[in-house]
Amino acid sequence: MSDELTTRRSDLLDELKRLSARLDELESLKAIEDLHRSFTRAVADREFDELAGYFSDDGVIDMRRHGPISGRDAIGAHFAGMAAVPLSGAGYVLSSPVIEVDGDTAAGTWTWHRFNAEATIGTKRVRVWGVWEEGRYRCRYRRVGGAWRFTHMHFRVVLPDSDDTPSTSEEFR
Amino acid sequence: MTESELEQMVAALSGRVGRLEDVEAIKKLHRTYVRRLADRQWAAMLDDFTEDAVVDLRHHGARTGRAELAELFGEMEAAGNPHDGYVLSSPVVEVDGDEATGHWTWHRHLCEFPVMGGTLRVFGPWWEGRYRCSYRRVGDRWKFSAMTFRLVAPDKDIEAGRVG
Repeated sequence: MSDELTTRRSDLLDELKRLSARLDELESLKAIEDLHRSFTRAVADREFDELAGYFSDDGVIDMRRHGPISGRDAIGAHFAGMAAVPLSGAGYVLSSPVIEVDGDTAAGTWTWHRFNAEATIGTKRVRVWGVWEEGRYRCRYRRVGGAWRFTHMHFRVVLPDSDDTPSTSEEFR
Repeated sequence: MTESELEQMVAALSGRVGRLEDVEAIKKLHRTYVRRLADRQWAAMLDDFTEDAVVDLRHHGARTGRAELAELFGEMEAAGNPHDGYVLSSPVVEVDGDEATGHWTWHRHLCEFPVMGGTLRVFGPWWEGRYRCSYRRVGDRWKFSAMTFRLVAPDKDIEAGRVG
């Protein structure tokens, strides 16, 4: 094989490796979006037993006023506790993902809306349309054994009334 | 397959991957822009436009260039800081080299209305709007080169020339 042919083939192989990496980033983007959308749909469907499986073993969550919770088992226990909260009949919309992938780790910001349809008046739950909340997820993800998982999940409601300023926000950015 | 044919195939694949990367970059631009709109981060939003961008938002009339756009954002900032929620959805983005176009659906959920002495919290009202945008690659990032936005439901916007 001539030197020129060897160089061309080497250049082609390098370009193919770069292409493979670029495709992997696009596929990772899609996989992470699927992960987060499936998680939110599971929350809406109150499939609390499944939720811990979306996290890495060392995952950390910081949801609204609950404070940071570390480790998959503790996260599972936290979500199991949500089963005791009465079904609110709320709808969820997850939108505007902005995901940055860096090899086997990634960071993402999302907008979340909850559309409520029930309110407590006195001791009764009544149907009330229209009330909504807007929240923001700031998350980190890691590829574990070929599958993407949450490693950090930070969530706050920001509108129309903002949750208290989180003391741990910077940890998650 | 010859070396030359292989090179052409790799170049074509690289172009196709590049277009997918551009679509994702443009989605990030527009999604971040609307999140900043909800957060009223006007200065950061201004940087998302090309120097010669043409922006035509509802009844405000077309503004050309960053200076006129800064003036418009100043007017919008002075109008107050309503605690409304925004949902951006259904992007359709077409890329052609360093230019692109995009159509999006937008919803705004309103909850505060001015009354004598303050605002009244009322949930339920919403608007649906449409973005029709052009984007241009400037250096290594995408920016808005043109943005038209109109409400379409439940009531369509009145065009600028017919206001008043």
